[in-house]
Amino acid sequence: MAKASLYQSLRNRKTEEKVSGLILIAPAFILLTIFVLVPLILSIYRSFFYYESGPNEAVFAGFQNYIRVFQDESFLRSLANVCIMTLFIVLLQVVGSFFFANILVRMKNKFGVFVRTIIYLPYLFSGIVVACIFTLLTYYNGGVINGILGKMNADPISFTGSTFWAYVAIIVPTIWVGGGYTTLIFYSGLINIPRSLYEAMAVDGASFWNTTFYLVLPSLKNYFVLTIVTLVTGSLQMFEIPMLMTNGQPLNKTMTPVLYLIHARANGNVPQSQIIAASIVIMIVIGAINAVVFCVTNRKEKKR
Amino acid sequence: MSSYGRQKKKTGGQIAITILLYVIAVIVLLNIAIPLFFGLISMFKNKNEIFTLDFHVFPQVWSTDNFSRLFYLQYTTIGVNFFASFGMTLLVAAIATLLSLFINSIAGYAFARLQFPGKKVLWIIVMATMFIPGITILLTSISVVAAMGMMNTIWVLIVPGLASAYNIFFFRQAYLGFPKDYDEAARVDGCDSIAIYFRIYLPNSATPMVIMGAGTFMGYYNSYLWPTLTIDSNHAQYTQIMTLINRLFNEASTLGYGAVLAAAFISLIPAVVVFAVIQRFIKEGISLTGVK
Amino acid sequence: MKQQRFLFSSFFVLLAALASCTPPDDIVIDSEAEKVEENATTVSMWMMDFEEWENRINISQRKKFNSNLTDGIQLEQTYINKNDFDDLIRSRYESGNVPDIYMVSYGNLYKEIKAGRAIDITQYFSDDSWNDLTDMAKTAVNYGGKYYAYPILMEPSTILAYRKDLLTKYAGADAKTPETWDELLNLCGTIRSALRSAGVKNVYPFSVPTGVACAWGSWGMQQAATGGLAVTDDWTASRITDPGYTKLAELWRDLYGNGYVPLSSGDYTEAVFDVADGKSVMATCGSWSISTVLNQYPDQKDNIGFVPMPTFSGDKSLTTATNGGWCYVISSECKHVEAAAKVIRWLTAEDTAQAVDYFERAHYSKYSPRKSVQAILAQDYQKQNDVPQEWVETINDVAGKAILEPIYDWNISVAVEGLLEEAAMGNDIPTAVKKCDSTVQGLCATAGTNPRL
Repeated sequence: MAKASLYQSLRNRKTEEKVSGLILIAPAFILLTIFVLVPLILSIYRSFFYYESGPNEAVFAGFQNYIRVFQDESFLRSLANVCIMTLFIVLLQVVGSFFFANILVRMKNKFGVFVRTIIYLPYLFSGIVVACIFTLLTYYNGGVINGILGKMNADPISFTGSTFWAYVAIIVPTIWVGGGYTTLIFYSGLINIPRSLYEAMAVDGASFWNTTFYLVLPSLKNYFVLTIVTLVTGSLQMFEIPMLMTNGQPLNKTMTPVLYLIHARANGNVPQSQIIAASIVIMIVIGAINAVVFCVTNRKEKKR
Repeated sequence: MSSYGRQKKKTGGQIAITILLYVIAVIVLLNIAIPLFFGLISMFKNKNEIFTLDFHVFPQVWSTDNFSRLFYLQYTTIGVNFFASFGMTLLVAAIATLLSLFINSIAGYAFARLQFPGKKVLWIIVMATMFIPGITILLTSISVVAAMGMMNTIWVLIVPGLASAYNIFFFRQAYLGFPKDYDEAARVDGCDSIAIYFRIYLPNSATPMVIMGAGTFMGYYNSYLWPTLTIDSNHAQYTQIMTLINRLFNEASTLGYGAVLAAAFISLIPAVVVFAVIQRFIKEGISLTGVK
Repeated sequence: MKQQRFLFSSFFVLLAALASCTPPDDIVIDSEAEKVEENATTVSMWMMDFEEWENRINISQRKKFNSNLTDGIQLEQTYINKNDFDDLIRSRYESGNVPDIYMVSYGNLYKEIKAGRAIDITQYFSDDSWNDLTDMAKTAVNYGGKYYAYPILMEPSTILAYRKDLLTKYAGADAKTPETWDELLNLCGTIRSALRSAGVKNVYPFSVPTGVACAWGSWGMQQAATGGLAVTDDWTASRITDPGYTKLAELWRDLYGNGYVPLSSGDYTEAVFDVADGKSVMATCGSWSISTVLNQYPDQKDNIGFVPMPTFSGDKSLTTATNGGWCYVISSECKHVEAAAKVIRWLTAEDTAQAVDYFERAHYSKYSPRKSVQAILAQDYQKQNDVPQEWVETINDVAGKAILEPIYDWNISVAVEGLLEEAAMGNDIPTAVKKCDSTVQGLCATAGTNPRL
C-alpha cells in the first residue's frame, strides 16, 4: 500500500492511470515476453540455421530447412491425417453437442440439472488418464471390448490394425473429453436467446426446423465460431491421446504432426533445426485454418 | 415452446418425444460412465486377470495388489514415490494457480479499466500469443529455461505458464461487466487505480477467480509434455503425476495394467474435487467465456 | 458443502485403507544403503530402463562400484524409460546436464558420432581390451580407425518361440517346428483350423513384429530373403526391387490375410508374453525373451521352445537375425573423461568378473562381445543346467550367423516397414513395392556414404 499512497500524491489522474496501468500489466507482459515471444523469435531465427543437438556449430541454411520440411513425406502425411481427424472431431462434436444442448434446454427438472453438471466432468481429465482408461477398452488381446466380443463369439476388433478403427480409437476419447463442455457452451447460448423470439416464431407457426435455421443458428453464430476455432486449434495439436491409443499405427495413418515431431526428435533422424521449421509450419497451418473459419462465417453473415 | 406444453395437455406425440429425449440423455450419461466403470472395477483385478482371454466384468478375486504396488513404486526402477509425486504435483499446481490468478487478473483489470500508453499495441501482442501453438515454442523454451538455470527445479514447472493470454482476456471480460460507478465513488474517496483493484475488483471477482482458478489448476495438474522434458529422473522429487502415469503405462507389462489404472484413478481425485467445488459456477463461467 | 465433505472423507478412508497394504511378492525392497564417498568426482550415467531383473543386476553392480571408497569416483545411475531416452538425451544436449556416460544401441551409434556427441575413447582403454573384442563387436564401435564406444552385449533380434503343448494340441503330436516359410504357413493353417473347430477366439498361430519394431525386427528376415538389406552396401541404390522383398511382402499378406497373426500386437520386445500366456502358439521374438521366460514364467520353462526363424529356401546357413545390442559412450560434454572411462573399464572392459556375472544372471540369453568372457561363459555353462541346452544352442547358432544392425538412415527401414504393412492390409503389392522403392531411392540421395566400407 506504500506504493498506492505514492501515486495518490500524483494529483493528475491521467498520469496516475498511465503509471498504474503499466505496473499492473508488467508482470504478465514480462512473463509472456520471456516464455512466449522470446522462444518464438528464437524458433524463427533457428529455423534458418542447420544444426543438431550436440557440440557442433550451427550453419546458416536459408530456407533449406523449410524445403526439407516440404519434402518430408511423413510429416506432410501426418498433417493430412490430423486434418482429417480434426474434420471428424469438429463435425461430430459440434453437431452432437448442439443437438444434445437442444435436448437439455427442454429438460427443466432436477434430472436436467444433473446431466448438465455431470457432462462437464470429463473435461477436467487429462489426455493421458483418458487414454489409459480407453486403452483398457480397446486393447487387442484381452481388452474389454474384445473380451465382450469374444463372449459373443464375434471376431475381435483391432484398434490399431485398420485405419477406420484407429480413427475411432482416437476420435471417441477426444469427443468423450470435450463433448460435455461444448454442449454446455451451446446450452448457455440457447438459454440466452430471449423467449419472446421463440414465442413469436411459434405464433407464426414455424416448425422446429424453421426455428432452428432462422432463429437459433444465427443467434448462436459466435458460439459456433468460438467452439470451432477452439476445437480446430486443439485438435490440430492432438498428441497425448494418439500417442497412447495408437502411436501412429497403422501405417502412420494416425500419426499427428506433434507426435511425429516428438518421435523424429527422439529418433534423431531429423535434425533439430528441421523440427523447429516444421513446428513453425504447424503454426502457420493452424493460423490459416482459423482464418478460413473466420472468413467463412463472416461471409455467411453478409449474405443474410 | 415448452411453456406452451405446460399449459396444454400433452399429446401422445409430445410424450413420445419427451421419452426419446430422456432416453438420449441416459445414453449420453452411460457413455460417460461406462469407460469409468470398467476402469474402476479393473483396478481390483490382479495382473493375470486384467488382459485375459477369459473375460469377466467383475474381478474373480478382488485384489488390492495394484494399490500396494503404487505404495512401493519407489523401490522399483521407476524410483519415484507415487504419493510424493502426487503431492508435489498438487503443490506445484496450487502455487502456480495463486500466482497466475493474481498476475492475470491485475493485467485483465488494467486492460479493462485503465488508459495507459501503448495499450492497444500491448493488447494485440497479448492476444496474438494465444494463437502460438505449444509445439512451436517447445524446443526453444527449453533453451530459454535452461539459460535461466531453471531446469530440474520446481520453478521450471511453475513460472513459464503463469501468464496466460486466455486468462487475461477472461478477466478483462469479467471486469468490463463491473459497474463503473463504484470506481468513481472510490476515486472520490481518494483511491488510486491500484487501490481500486484491491478494494473493489479483487473482493468482487469470486466467480472469475474460481472459474479461471479451476482451469489453471487443472491445466498445471494435467500437463504432461513440459514436465517430462524439463525434469529428469535424477530429480525424482519433482516428477509430475502425468509423466509418472505415462511411465507406468509404458511399463504396464511388468507392473500389470491394473496398477496403471489405479494410478490413473487416484490422479483423478483432484479433478473430481475441483468439479465439486466449481459446479455451481460452471454456467456463469461459460457465459463469461467471452462469447459476445 | 455436504458433497465436498463426503468426497474428502472418502478420500482419507481410501488412503487409510491403502496404507495397510503389504508389498506385492515381486517387489524386493533393497534396504542396503549405498556407500557415498566424500569429495569424490561424480560420474553420471544414463541407463535404459529394461526389465526389473536386468535393472537389478545393474544396480547391484553400481553399489559394488561405489563400495570402493578410495577410487575418488562416485557413480550415479539414472534409469530412463526406453521411449523417452533419446528425446531426453537431446534435451540435455540443448539445456546442459548431459550425463557423462550413456547407453546407445549399435544402430544409433553412428548418429551420435556424426553429431559429435560421442567422443573418441580409443586412448582410454588398453590395446588388450580392444583386442579382446570379437571382430563383429569391433566393427560395431570402430569408425575410421577410432573406437567411439565400448560394447556391453550382443543379442540376436529374431528367433522363433513356441509353446510345445499348444503345438501338440492344435497341430498333432508329430508337428515339427517350421524351417521354411511355406512350412510355417501350412502349420499356421493347421493350427488355425484346429482353433476354429475348437471354437477358440483370440488365440493366434503366430505373430510378427508390428509398428516401429517391424522396421528393425525384420532386418534378419530381409537379409535371409534377399541376401542383403534395403540398400546396396555403398548406400547408393535401393534394393527393394529384389524379388525377395516381393516374396516377403507376399508372406506378410498371407499371414495377415489368413488371420494367422493378430492384426495388432503389443510391444515386440515383450512378444514372448503372448506365447507364455497362451495367446499365441508361436511368435517372433528376440533372444532376450529367454531371460524373460526364466525370470517371469519359470514354471513354463519346459513348455517353451526357441528355434531359428524359418527362411524361404530352408537353407540353414542363412543369416536370420541381426545382432543388436548396447554400448556405452562418453558424451562430448563430459568434464572428467578419465573417471568416466574408469567406470566403463570396471563395468565391462577390463575385469571379466562383472561381465561374467551379468551374462550368467541374464541366463546366457545374450552374447558377450569379448572373447575372454565368451570363453569363461562356455566353461561355466557346463557346470549348471538352469537354461535348457537347446535354447543356448539356438542362440549360439543364430548369433553366430547374424549380421550387425545396419546404420543407414532409419527412414529407409521405416519405408520397408511401410511396404510390409501395406501388404498386411491387403493393398496391391507391386504398387507398394514401387512406392517403397522410390521412397528408398529418394532417401539414398541424402544418405551419404557408408562409413563401414
